[in-house]
Formats: sequence, C-alpha cells, structure tokens
Amino acid sequence: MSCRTTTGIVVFLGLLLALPQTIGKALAGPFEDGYAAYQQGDFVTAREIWNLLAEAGEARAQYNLGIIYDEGRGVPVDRDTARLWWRKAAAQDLPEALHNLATSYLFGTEAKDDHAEGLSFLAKAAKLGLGRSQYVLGKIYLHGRGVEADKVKARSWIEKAAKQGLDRAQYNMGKIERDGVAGTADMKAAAAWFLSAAKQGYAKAQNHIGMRYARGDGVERNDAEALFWLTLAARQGHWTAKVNHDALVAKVGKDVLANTKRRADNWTPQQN
Amino acid sequence: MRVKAYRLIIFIALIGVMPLRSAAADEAKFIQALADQAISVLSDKGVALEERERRFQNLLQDGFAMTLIGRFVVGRHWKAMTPDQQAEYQALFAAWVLKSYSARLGGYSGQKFEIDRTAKAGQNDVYVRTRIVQPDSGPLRCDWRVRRFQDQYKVIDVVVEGVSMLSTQRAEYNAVLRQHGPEGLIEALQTRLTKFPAKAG
Repeated sequence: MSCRTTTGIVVFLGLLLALPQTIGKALAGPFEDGYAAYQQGDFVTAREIWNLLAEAGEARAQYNLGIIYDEGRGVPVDRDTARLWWRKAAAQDLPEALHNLATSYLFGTEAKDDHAEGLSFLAKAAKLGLGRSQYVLGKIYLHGRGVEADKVKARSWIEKAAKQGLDRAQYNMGKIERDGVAGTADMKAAAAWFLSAAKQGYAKAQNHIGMRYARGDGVERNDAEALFWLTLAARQGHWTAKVNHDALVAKVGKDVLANTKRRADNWTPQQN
Repeated sequence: MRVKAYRLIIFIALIGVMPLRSAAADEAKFIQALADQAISVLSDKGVALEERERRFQNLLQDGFAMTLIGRFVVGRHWKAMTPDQQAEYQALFAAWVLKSYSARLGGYSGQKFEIDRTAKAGQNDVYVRTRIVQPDSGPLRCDWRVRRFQDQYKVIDVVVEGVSMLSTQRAEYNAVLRQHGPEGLIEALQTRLTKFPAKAG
C-alpha cells in the first residue's frame, strides 16, 4: 500500500469519526444546549436557556423548567412554579407535562390536595395515549379514589396500558381477568397477563404466575416453573412468595431445586 | 437571681457548642466518608446524569437506615398493613426517598461540602451539621441525624434548611393513610414514581 493511500485512509477515517459531532453541533439548537448543561449538572445555565425558550412558548422548555422546580435542581423545591410551567406546556398538549401536572395534584401527598384537578389532567394525557397515565387513571376508577368506582372504565384504561407493555398494568389485567371485572373470568388470559408482567421482573406477578403453575390454574401444572417464579419473587423480598416457595421446596426433588437455582441466577428481566 | 438565670442560660448555650464527646467524631467521619464517595460518583461527568444519580442512590441506600425510616414515617399504620403491603410500601418508599434526594443533592458541580459541627440528638443519635456551599447561591444547610447500629453508622433523618425529611413525610403520608388506607398510600407512591424526567429533545 502506498504512503498516499495510507494517508487518504487516515484522513477519511478522521472525517468519519468527526462527522457525528459536526452533525450534532449543526443540528443542536438552544434547547439541546440546555439539556447538555443539565446533564453536566449545570442547572443554572440549563434554567437560563430554557427560561428564554419557555417565555417564547417552547413547550419542551416549559416542561423541563417544571422539572427543575419540582425536583429542586439548583433551586429550592417550588411546586407552585413547577405547576405553572407544566400548565403552560400542558396547554400545548405535551403528554408528559399533563401527566406530571396530574401526579403533583393526585392523592394530596404534596402541597395542595386537588385530586379532581389532577384527574382532569390525567384523563387528557391518557386520551393522548400515554401508558402511565392510562394505568394510573384505570386504578383510580377501579378503587374509586376520589371518583365513583367504574369497573368498565377501569378495565378499559388498564388494558390499554397493559397492551403498551406496562408491567403493573399487565399484573392488574391478570387480576381483572381472574376476577371477571367488567367481563367474565378467564383464567388462561389471567395467567398470560401475569406471565407477561413476571417476565419484566414484577415480584407480585411472579408470585401469582408461580402459584398458577403450582396449581395448574390457567396453565398446565408445572412444579419446576412454579418454583422458578416463586424463587425470583422471594428474592425480591415478596413475603407470600417466600412462604409459597418454602412450601413447594419440600415437594420437589434435588435436581429440580438445583436447576431452578441455576435458572434464577442467570435470569434477567425482559426490557419493555 | 437574675444574674444566676443568665449564667444558667450561658452555661446551657455553651454546652450546645462545646467540643463534642469523642464518639461524635466517628459520626462526622462517617458523613464525611459518605460525602467523599458521593462527590466522587457525582463528579464523573463522563456518564449521563441518570447513571450518576443511580450510582449515588446505591450509596445512599447503603448509608441510610431505610427500613427504620420507612416504618417510622407510617407510624401506627404499620401494624394495619399485611406483610406484603409492608414489603411493597418499603420498596416504594425507598425508591421515592432515593429519587428525591438524588435530585436535590445529585446535581453536583463543584460545590464544597463542609462539616460544621456535631450535636447530640436524643438519647442515642448525633446530628452532623453540614453546609453545601454553592457558587451561585447561598450555602445549603444540611443536618444528618446519625445512629449507630451494632458496628456501623446509618443516617436516620436529613434536615435540609431546617426541614426534616422524617417529619415532612410522616405528615404527608398520614394524611393519605387516613383518607385512602395502606393500599391508597401504595398507589400514591406508585403514582409519584410514574413522573417523567426532563426531555432530551
């Protein structure tokens, strides 16, 4: 290979390496500069940049300013100012702003107790398709927290969130199918939902699917599978799972125990 | 008589600022070590803020008596919870506390952490009074209530600018417990934890 060719390759490689940075710089606007400062822990610069943009009506900057005040990043925690900025972003239908605004009012755990106002923001975010909002709204209707309980609405919202892959929603769909909430009981469907949530690492679901395998309820009975899921739940500190696990251990052989331990040691939760 | 009363007040005031019993130095060392580790984790700007804060949360998890704090915060309602509710509540409580504190203290960008002094707190504990000196605003006063558990020290409360984490959360949680019961508190904590972080783009 000639010296010229080698030099050419080096220059080419150098350009290739520099390209993403160049493009990044060219495309990054002030909002992104604010985020870069935020990432560096320079919340003063981030706030100054986003403040200018937020005043000019940029919804993402308004939303991020809300985070800065809500979490007290470089400023004292100020929930009223956080809400003020989230309201502006929510007025532009930014789903995350609607959701965060809702959570700051719900259950009255923070400065103000205005559950009803929180619910209206949550409903809007849910209608815009945000899984977390759909789930929280479904649970609120299920237990009638500050609203009249409505099992049909509860099921509908939780199912939407479960279909988006939210583990807690899937677990709750398992219970809804099991109990026939706003429908007929369906043990197979219940087990399928519990399994989906269990695979994502949700301890309560792991306990439920473990017990379903132990009893052959909605799934074919399988002690090894039962022990596997109960082991995972018990390792996360789930009390009932530990009791169930210990009762099952007495019934299975040493080979099943050893195999289950190996499987549990190598297991990693499914990423949604 | 009046002079005697003044003397008494001065004497009490002096006790408050006197050099501490030698054991309190260990509590201060524990807090200093925790702060040193925290600064080292949070200064690593090569990793994303979320990752730095996740590492910081692991440090806090080890340094805080989280189960004791969580139990104290719900007070008498603890006994009304089933063992599963207690476990779920404890996990959510720890997640929330760690998230809140890593947000408040996590944005480290060269602040100075200074230990002021220590003071006795109740029968068994020591307050380690510290200041986080920030370049752009006034110093943040942060007092750490430390208790010895067998061979190790743990933080059992943090008082930021005079506001106790324990007292604030106890008041908030009890209001929810009175209105919605243990399941309601669990849902409230779950709901809080669904908050979205800052948008990157």
